[in-house]
Amino acid sequence: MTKDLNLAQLQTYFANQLVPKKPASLAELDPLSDLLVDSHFTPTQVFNIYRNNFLISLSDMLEQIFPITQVLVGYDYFAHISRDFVYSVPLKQPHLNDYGSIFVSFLRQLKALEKMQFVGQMAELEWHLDYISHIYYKPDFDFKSLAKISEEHLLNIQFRLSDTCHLQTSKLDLIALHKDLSRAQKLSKSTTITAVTYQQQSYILGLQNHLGEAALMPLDQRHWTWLIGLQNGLTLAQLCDLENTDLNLLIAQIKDWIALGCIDGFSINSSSSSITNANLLKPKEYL
Amino acid sequence: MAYQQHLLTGTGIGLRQPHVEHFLQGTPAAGWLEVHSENYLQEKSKRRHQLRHIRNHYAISCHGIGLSLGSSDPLSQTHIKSLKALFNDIEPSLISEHLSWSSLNGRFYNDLLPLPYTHESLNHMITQVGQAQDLLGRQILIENPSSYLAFKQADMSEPELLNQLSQHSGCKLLLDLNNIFVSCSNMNTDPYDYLASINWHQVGEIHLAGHTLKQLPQGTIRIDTHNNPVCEEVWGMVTTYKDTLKHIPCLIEWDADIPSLDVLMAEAKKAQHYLGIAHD
Repeated sequence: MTKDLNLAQLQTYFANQLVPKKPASLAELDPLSDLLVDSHFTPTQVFNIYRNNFLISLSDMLEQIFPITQVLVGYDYFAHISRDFVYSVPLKQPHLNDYGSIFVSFLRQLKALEKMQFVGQMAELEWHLDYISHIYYKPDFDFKSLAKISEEHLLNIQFRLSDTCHLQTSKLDLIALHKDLSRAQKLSKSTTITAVTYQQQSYILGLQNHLGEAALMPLDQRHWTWLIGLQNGLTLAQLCDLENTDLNLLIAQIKDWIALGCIDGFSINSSSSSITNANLLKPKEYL
Repeated sequence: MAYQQHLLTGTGIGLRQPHVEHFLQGTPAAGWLEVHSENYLQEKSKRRHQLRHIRNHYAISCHGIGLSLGSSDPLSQTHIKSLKALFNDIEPSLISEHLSWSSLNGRFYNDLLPLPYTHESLNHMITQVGQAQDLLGRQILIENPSSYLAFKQADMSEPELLNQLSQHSGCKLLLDLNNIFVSCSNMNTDPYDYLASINWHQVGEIHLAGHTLKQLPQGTIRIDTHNNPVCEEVWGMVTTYKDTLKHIPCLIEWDADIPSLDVLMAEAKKAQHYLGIAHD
């Protein structure tokens, strides 16, 4: 190799040595020996510092976001897949805000985990819990404006689900699994997980609690359907139609969700059709 | 919101997450605080909200690690936009970045990678720093990195490059004495020669930090980990240059194995002692 490379060529060469095409081929890389000033350390020794900084900084971040997934797949296997991820999926931004969500997609596509979909589900749950815990949320639902809405528009209200909420469903009781693995992790205890133990359809609401921490709440199917409806922008009328629900009951539930911080706003959808089978009541009496 | 404008005076500390609650609940006696810009980019994050609160009581310096000024890639306009929004929000007293690169062809390596000290690198840095300053509407301070290797392709020394960069781009310098000591030890050069070569009129901030020793068969290599107290050799450099340094804002950085706030504040007081600055 000639020593006269321009800046772009040198950086390309450096970057190629930093990230092996395949993790196993790391030892075969040429650590720029022709380009470096001689020192008492070998080019491989000094270059490994940069390789380690790159790998460790990103895999440490994954360990922090996905502690339960780590316990679920085992620490060694997690280290293996996070290394593969860091090498094969480029970080495209100068910050780490979204890198965890890309890791969830990566896990879901791993052939080795094809028959263990709950691993990807647990990672998705952890990613959202981490995200929720970092959002600044101050309850400021506009009750005054809501009270001004006329009866004719009541059923066209679309309530908005807060950014601090996450909805997820699974064929396993993910909340129980998360709880058991958290306990095992805190006690540094190894634990054997059999999916059979947790086989139960679950509907999960992740939200920021009043302490600003991410929390998990189990839902029944009806509440789940309503919240998914809200997330999809359904009006009150459409939500009532979904489960043939009494409007009073739905409004009482919406009050609870506003109090929990799950709903942070609303709008009126003037184009939606109104409901025929609900018991109409004035909004100010309820909200 | 208009904050009270503060100058950075005396010794500051790096604000890290384990200590944030102390600064939300009270006003520990730190001269000023420095944050890593990339940790506060999300406008609706708790961190940003907390920083706004803390900014009411402290001068803040924003230290960036993501602009990748030395990269042959163009500057990320998205990142510049996010930084600009942060700076407009927080109104920092200083902003700083590094003499390094961290991305290529759109891939980020989350590390500060070394540059060859050539005329091409110098001209490239002058262009990039100039563009960044124009886009951000603020002067940037550029920090010397810790190095573990040096390229054969070199037209000048690191301090020469920094001096020329500040002269031609209008930036100032952030001199990290620990990085100088780490680099010079690893390259077998004299840190005092480095200090003697610096144009001190251009230095707007000083960093002090600890590092890690790693034993290799040929000897000890020093790694810039920011997980230890400042070493005696670096305090020696501070003592030698105290008459110059005492007029420059000085920061204690501690980024890994973060100790209690008391330990960090004690390190800041130690810096004031070595610099001959009166304690609070």
